[in-house]
Amino acid sequence: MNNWLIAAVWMGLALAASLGSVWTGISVSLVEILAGFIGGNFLGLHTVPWIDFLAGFGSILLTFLAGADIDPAVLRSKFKEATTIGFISFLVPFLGALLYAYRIAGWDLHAAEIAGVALSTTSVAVVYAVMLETGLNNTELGKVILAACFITDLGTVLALGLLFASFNKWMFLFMAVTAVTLALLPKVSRFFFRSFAGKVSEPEIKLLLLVLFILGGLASLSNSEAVLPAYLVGLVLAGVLAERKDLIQRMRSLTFAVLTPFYFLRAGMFVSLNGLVAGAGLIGVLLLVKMAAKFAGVWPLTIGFRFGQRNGMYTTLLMSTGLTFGTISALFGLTHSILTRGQYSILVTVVILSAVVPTLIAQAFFRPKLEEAVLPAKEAAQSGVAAR
Amino acid sequence: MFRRILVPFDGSENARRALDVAVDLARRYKAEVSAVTVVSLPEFAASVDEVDQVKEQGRKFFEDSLREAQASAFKAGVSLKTELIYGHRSEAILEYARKSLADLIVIGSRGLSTVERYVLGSVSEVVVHHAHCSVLVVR
Repeated sequence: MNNWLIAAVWMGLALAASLGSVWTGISVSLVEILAGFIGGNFLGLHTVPWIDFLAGFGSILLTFLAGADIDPAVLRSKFKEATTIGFISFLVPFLGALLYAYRIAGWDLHAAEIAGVALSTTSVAVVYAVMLETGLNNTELGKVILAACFITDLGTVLALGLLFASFNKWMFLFMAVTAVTLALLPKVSRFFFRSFAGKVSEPEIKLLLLVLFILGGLASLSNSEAVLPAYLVGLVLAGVLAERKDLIQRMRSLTFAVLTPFYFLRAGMFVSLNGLVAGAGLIGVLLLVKMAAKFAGVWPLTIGFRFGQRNGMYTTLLMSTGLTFGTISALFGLTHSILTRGQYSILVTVVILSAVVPTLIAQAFFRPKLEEAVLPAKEAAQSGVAAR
Repeated sequence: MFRRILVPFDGSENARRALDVAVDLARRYKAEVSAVTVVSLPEFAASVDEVDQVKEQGRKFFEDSLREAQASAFKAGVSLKTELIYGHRSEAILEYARKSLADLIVIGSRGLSTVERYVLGSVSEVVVHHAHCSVLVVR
């Protein structure tokens, strides 16, 4: 089959997933994973190097955009609560899933580390959507939870980027270039965006892509992962990009129309039906391990920070969700031959279930009373916190 | 008899008919009337951008029809309060009705076939069964 026909097959599946998403109201990414699973297991879908590249490019941009979503003002105003909850929300599930996979499930150490990383995540997107629906995004509680989610994902990305890296000359070069870039980029990009805004040839997007490619390339040379610098670049540029919604909108269109379908279809394609059947029991147990570890880590903190019983349980359950970074971590494990297809299938399924199960429980039984979580208008104005 | 009337409004023909009935009732009973539009967000999204995109598209799509509804109610001599909220349609309508202390919900029926009702689910049916107040379904 020539490249165009291969592209047609993949885009056909992406289109079917889009329509399925519109029809069911379920996230297009989840439907794409499902379409990839069907394609891989029943339709003979296979990948080629240029699809691998587009999928990798998609994951880099997805991660960059995820980092750029943070509201720096919120993080600053609730730094202590957000960093404490976010860090513990990463660390305890990471250790819990790692130890379970290594000691009890009998995975080798590196595979168990990937399990720890993949199950340590929190889905900012799932949490954000729930917040919008409940109106909690404008409350003090909502802002703390959202900021904590970014810290958790930062932990996940750092662990993925550093655990498997080779600490050689390339790593030191990567770290040095990344540090300088992150320090200079906000000022440089603000100047560059001011000078070249509104040009048809999109020099602003090209500058961002250039930075992401250079840092991603250096990360790969040191056996790290290109999503690490992408997330960090997103985080340091969040403030600059908040002033350029149009630029983000154009990058978002490029990412979702052309790139992420390849990423999510490919992620689903590698999930094997046999692996799911063989690992059904472990899938249930790992989901419980993730939720129990999040509970053990986050719930006591919510009580310590006086969230109250109901709000504390709601926060804990929302912090137990995960999706994008979980699949990125699992895919990293598979493509670097750290995970087998069976282990990958188990991890991706647990990650998907962790997006669904805790959300449904939180919404059904622990939805907070809004008035308890509302930040008084005067205080909100003083803190400079912007409602999304 | 009715003091606060709520119309779930999605800009469709059926919703417009329901709004006309609500405006007529509001005039008769000197009641307040409000229209609420629910934008459904993607379930279990993978990125904040996906959520934001759906939110923005929904807002752009519905804002015009809400403005038109306001103008048409104004012509009939009734002031219409409008609101755009996010969530699952039926759940969000029920919760909004409770919070806004509505004592009547006037909702348009889409006239779904049996199969469509089974597959898509009927919002008006759920609202009729679970609302805390009276519900008038306009066909």
